[in-house]
Amino acid sequence: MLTFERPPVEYKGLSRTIVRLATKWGGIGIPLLLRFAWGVFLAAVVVLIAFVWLVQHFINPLLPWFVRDFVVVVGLLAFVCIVAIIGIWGERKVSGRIQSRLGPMRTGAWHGWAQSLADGLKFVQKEDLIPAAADKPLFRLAPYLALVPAFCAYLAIPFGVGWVFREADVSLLFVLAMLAIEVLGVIMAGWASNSKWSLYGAMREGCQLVSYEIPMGLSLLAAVLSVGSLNLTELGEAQAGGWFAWLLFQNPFLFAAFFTYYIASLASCKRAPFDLPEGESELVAGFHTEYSGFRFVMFFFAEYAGMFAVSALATIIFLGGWGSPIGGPSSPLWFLAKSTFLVWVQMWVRWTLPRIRIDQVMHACIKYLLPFTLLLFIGSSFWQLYASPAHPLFASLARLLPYGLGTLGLLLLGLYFFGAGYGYYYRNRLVGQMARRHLPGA
Amino acid sequence: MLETMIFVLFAGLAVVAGIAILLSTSIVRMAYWLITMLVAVAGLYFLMGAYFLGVMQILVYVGGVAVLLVFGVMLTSRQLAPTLRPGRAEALWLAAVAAVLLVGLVLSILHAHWQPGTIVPANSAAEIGHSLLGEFLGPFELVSVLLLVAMLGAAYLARPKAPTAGPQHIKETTVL
Amino acid sequence: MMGLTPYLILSAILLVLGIAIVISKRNAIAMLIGVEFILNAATLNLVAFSRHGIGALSGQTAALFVIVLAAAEAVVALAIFLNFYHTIATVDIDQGDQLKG
Repeated sequence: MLTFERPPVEYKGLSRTIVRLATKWGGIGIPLLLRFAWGVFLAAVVVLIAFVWLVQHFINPLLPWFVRDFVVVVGLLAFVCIVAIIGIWGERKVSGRIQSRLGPMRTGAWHGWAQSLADGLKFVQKEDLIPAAADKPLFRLAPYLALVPAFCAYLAIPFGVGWVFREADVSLLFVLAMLAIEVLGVIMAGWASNSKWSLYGAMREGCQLVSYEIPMGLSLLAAVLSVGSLNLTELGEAQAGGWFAWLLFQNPFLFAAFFTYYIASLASCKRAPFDLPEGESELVAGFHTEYSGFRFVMFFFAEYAGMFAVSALATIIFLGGWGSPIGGPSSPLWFLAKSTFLVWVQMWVRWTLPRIRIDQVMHACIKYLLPFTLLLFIGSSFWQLYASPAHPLFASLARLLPYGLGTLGLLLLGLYFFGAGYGYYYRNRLVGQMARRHLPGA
Repeated sequence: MLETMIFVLFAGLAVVAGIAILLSTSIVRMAYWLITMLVAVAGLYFLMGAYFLGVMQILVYVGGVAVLLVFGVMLTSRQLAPTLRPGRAEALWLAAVAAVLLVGLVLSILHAHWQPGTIVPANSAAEIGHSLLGEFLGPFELVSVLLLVAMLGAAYLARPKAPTAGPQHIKETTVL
Repeated sequence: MMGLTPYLILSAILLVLGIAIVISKRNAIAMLIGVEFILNAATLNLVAFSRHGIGALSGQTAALFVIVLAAAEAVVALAIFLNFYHTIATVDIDQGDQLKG
């Protein structure tokens, strides 16, 4: 039972002015904004591109390095926020389509694209509740401890050959380290809420995240062995030259390592089927039960930022980073496309598979995933040993392997499309006449 | 100049964390000040050019040891029990001992003539890897065995046991 | 360029803080936190010397070993404390005055 120390706060001073202006003009302004949303969006994009070009060519050389760094960091922060906003909207649309419904359709003229913005506005104007018996400084600190490391991971991720904030020789480990600090923010949130639902969620989550970091790291290290560098830019550049140079296809062990890394990263982002920490139907909302308003938004942003970060790592290390699969110039847009595809697959998996119990989660990690990734690591290193010029027969066979594995990948993709086509063709039989008539998009 | 500023920032953070732990009233907050100190020391490693070591500090210490400590704290402390603080005399003795120790150490540091060596440039993981498999191969293998033994020992020690009635004279309080 | 002395003095301060924490706290886990302070102070010392040419890279490798050993020690210590907690319902080390159990 929540107890309040004093009645909800009345705004004073500047906040009062802002709230009054917002309610007076917001009632007119926000619907206007949404009515001409496309125009506003395009205008914003044009202004942004013009600004970036101006800054780059005229102002950039004049500014001291810390101002340039500051601008880049603000840009990265904006990118993380945009990723989170689009991720939330995408999640609701994807979940809707998988559940034979349409998802948000009203806010914003096209498929509810402004739903995230509306959600953000709603969260911002919510009352800031802190449970009376909670540990207040830790309660306030926890969302930042979850969000800031998730953002810091982006400082070392290259989006393209020159597109990285700081190139570091150990950038892969740096990203993993930043994703490891998030654990503490979540545990702190669960503890400081002083509620048993939060605490259970926090402890389960702590176990799960810390355990799954090991298969994550080992799968990535199996790939690092092939290239010989922890530098993410070098890992990306080592896969330049078409889809057959991707590390995914070099090695059957690396092929399996991609899938184990993906599964471990699902657990590391607390996504289903490993989302017991935020199990909606079981623990109210897990470790962020007591968080409302903007603090909750920070946890949400941290989750989507983490999702994109691990997908970005998978893209750079296994899927060729910024190289184009169909032969053409490499560009950051390919990187974004591949990472977005992996994030979409994460959402797809979330809304398809049921939730796994915590003991099954731990068993899966320690009894199956961990020995398997160790075997992949050893196998990959032996492959490196035998695929060298000292063993010419094996080396020539190994050079044919990427094409074989690529064919396998295409076969799997074809299998998926075959299944989808079958389901679409026989959708009457599978979904049912009633569903087709009454549910939109079924 | 910038290096000095960053050094002062991280060093100050570490020392403030230590003092905050001494003055703190809650074991959970002590654990989080420890994390602050660990991150500050990792920052100092980055400043010194030991990038791999700094990243390992965060991965292993913050992501492993500190999480373990926080788990231990959560499993063994009761939040609503009254807390006890050390008395005045104890605090004075502590300050005296600490001051003597600190003064002794600082004086010996300032009076020693360290041989000025050349500053080793910032290095990457490759050289550390070479030395792990070369000069430090023996300790490397021994540490692997030790980790295995520690894991097994800890798993055995912390196994679930039948509950026993402990000594009855212990009050249930949270101690600092 | 920073010299060696500031790092050594910082390491000394952290060491003394760690000793103070170990001496003054009654909670077993607070003592463990103090021990982590001491270990970090020593590691900082090692890395500072390694950076300034004394011992080249072996300081950093030794520091890696110290980190690993500190992790192992924290694991075993926590297992012991959990055992302690199951027997006596507290982690107050002043209450650990019996050799039985």
